[in-house]
Amino acid sequence: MEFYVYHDFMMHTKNIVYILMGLFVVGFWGLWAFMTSRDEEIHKMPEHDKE
Amino acid sequence: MTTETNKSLMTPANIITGIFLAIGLVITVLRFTKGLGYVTNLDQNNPWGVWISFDLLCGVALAAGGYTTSSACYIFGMKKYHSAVRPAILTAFLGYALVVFALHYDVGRPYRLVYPLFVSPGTTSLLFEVGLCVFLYVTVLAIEFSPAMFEWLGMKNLRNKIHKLTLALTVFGVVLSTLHQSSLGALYIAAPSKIHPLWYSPYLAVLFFISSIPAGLSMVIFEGTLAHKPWHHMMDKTHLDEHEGVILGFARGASIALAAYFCVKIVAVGYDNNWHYLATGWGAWWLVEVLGFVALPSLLYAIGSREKNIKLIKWTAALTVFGIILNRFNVSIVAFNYTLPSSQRYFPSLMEIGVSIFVVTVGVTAYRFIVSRMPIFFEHPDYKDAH
Amino acid sequence: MKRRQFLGLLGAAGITATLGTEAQAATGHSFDGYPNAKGVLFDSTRCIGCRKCEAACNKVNKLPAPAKPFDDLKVLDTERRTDEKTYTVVNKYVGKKGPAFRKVQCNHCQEPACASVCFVKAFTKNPDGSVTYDASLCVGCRYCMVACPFNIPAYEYNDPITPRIMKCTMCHDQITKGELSAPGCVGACPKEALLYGKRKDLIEVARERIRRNPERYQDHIYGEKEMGGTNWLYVSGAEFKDIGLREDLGTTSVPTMTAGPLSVVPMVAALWPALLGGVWAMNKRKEKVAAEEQKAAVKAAKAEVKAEAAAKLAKELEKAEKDKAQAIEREVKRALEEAAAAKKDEEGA
Repeated sequence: MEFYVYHDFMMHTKNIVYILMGLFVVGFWGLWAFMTSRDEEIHKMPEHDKE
Repeated sequence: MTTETNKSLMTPANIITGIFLAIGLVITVLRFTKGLGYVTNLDQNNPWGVWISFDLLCGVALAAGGYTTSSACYIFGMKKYHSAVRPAILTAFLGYALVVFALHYDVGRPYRLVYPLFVSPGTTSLLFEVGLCVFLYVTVLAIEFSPAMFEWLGMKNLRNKIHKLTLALTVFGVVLSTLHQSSLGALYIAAPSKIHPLWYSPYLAVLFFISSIPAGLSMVIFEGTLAHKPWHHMMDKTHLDEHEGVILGFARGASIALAAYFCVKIVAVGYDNNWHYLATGWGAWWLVEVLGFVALPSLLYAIGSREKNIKLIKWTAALTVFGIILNRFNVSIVAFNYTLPSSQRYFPSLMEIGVSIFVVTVGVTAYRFIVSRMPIFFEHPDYKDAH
Repeated sequence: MKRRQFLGLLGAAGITATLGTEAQAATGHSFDGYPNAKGVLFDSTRCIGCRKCEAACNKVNKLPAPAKPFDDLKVLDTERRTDEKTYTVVNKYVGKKGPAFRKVQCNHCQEPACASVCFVKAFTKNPDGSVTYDASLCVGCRYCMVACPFNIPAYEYNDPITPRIMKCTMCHDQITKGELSAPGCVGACPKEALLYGKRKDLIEVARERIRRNPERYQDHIYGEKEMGGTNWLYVSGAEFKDIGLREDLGTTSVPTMTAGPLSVVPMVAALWPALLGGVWAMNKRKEKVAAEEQKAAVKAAKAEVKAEAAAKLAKELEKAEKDKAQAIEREVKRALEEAAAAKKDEEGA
């Protein structure tokens, strides 16, 4: 794809960046959910400790 | 819960509210029948007026209490501020909702406000960034606020499900706030030839973001002070016990944030070697803003928190809030179009100011309605120690 | 010349938008505009302020009739700008060498500020060099008016719900349809003060005019580089600032200026969750350690109390034992003494 106008080039690259950002958010959330999915016991610990 | 409804509705506060709302509705009709030209003093050279400066720029900056308070409590581990989170989230939610509401007056075709998001996204525009973030953040704030409503309505299951998302929502909220607070400043980076060099800077994005932190913290202090008298009976022991700690802690945070903001303000002048403008009339005005409404409140906050002088802190909060409003007006109106002769400069019309007052009144009314009913200043007995 | 660049918000991440004055991609690829882009050269030394271009513009764009007719030259006594009913105006500037005229209209920037800041892509930079506007997308936010360095876009303030932005189109539609071969204003000029053609050729023509008559012209083509270059170009005898053209705009285009802050946006999205998550985890861990330490301290305190109690008990027992022993001893002693006394009595008797 050839661009003659910097503005058009920017529109193209920023479109991609915004899509990527959406993927980042979903990705972070997914990674976090995966990483902590077996943490239930540890998660609950502070609650138990409160007494 | 029904303290307000039992009393007569003809209180002075309600009468004033009613008058402002009535005036606002009249102007609303005029705006949508006769157009912006009839209602505002906007013209071809001055496309953005007080609805952008106050309702959008100040509204968003002063609603920063939401992300600053919730991140202090849930991310930075300052649990002692927990009782301040709900009032701050409520103010932020109402603030953003009103920003969106006020934009319906300002834009020419409000029914197309979703176009940038769903029809034709102009991703090279910083306004697109602002629009996207504000849209997402209003949603986040609505979800963050919803537990209070569900507790009020007794919807336990839903409340507990959303409560589990607190951390994710807080992190997302800080990301969105960082982005749109800074982008509001960055909007003006596109207009270097129109804004006086003392206020134009490539650092505008940083300046707007950093200054939103003391703005938000000061608003929490300020609004807490205002809310304390009328709703004292609604506040539980935790809220009252923590209140002073919140004020002292937030004063410290605001003092440091203002100091940081002061430094960036100075650096921004140095970036384009604009020192010589300080000797002009514009420079004097710049110094009034930066010394009187940035450096001074930073110092007063430091003194207040050092001497545990709650009264001084409360006055400083008002000073800071005023200073942030002054800054947003300076960038968007006072220093904007500084090259034009004074006859072509903008000054808001009474009807424009009327709409801004109307919008604030709607917000205050909604706030009064909610805090008199929902668990904002107290913890719902069913969910004590649930955090 | 001022370089309006934005040093990244995230200094720590080493993000610096080091774009030069020409629109460039990071790799150095530069953007010079569409190769066959057209433009108009305005020669202020030829313009006589007859307002024929204004009349033609009004006609070909079917704009509403003006308050004062186009042959009324008294209109020139006050400086005007474009508005929602006027795409172009001619202004008169009285200088030392007599009056000079300058035509005002959209300059059709090579890198249009209006298009760059529009959040619904309502503006397009066309291959023919023109910048056009699509009212069917416009929300009416007026950011284009804020950003335009030449104060060109005008807004229909008196239309309550369907206001449009109005501005010169370089007669893009009419030329595309074949109704016109050149913009209306150009065709109407009796003095050839306006010249329509390829932008590249126009720059050559302008250079040639300046070279041939250096005493007649300022040695500058306004619009060749201003704000990244415009497709409407100007040559003049008077200084450009004296005919209402700002000389302090610089050569950086608006898209280049906003590239810096825009480049930080994905950095915040990528780095903030990680940083904030880290801070959260640190605090969570601190809390956990504190809780464990507290637990351990409670345990230790309990053990200490227990040990102390045991020691006390042992001491008590020991004391009791001692007392008992002493009591026995005392009893034994007394018994012995009694026995001894009895013995003595017996012996004495």
